[in-house]
Amino acid sequence: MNNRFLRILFFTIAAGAILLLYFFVEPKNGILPKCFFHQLTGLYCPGCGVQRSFHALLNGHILTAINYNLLFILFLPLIIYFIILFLWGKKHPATSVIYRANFSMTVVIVVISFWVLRNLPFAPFSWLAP
Amino acid sequence: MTPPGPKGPFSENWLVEAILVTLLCCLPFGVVGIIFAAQVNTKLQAGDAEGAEKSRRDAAKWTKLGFWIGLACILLYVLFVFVLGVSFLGAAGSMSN
Repeated sequence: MNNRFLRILFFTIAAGAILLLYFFVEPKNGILPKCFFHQLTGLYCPGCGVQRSFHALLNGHILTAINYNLLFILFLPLIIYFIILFLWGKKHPATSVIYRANFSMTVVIVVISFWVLRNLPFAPFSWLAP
Repeated sequence: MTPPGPKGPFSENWLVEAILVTLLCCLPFGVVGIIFAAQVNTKLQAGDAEGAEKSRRDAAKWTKLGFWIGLACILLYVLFVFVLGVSFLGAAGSMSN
């Protein structure tokens, strides 16, 4: 119980700081870190645009958020579910969707396709680029 | 098809952790983690417990590697910006005084 309290306290402080930071700071202004993969290779990684997407989402611009990183928005429900389990100190139930072979294979295919397709320089794939 | 009983602290196959590293750490390591995490499930489903355990360790290895390298890059970046910011503020302060 005490452990859970500390975990929730620590998480609330960290999450609050991150939410405030991304609510107010526009990632395009160049203060926040840029993607190292993109800096090195010039290509977009699957996570490129997540910071801008998060900023847009916090400010209620859902379409802009999708435009910056569709994958992030798709995985957001899973990430929130994961955070709740973590805070509660619970394990994933054995029936959890993350243990299903079909689901995890779909994740592999979706992530790799997203990574490749968003680097193609023509429509409609260029819409996936941040 | 019986799903495995989780025995790790929060998750058994590292799938969500690998997804997070993929999205937040800007490195291809997270994608490798996702691939191994998926192998854990397919191997368990095929009854290959030993192979699943090996994939689980690989998924953990690549996910953690991506996490620590990503974190190190971000911290270095923050340090760099902080040093620049302090020197900039110092210069601005001395100009205005």
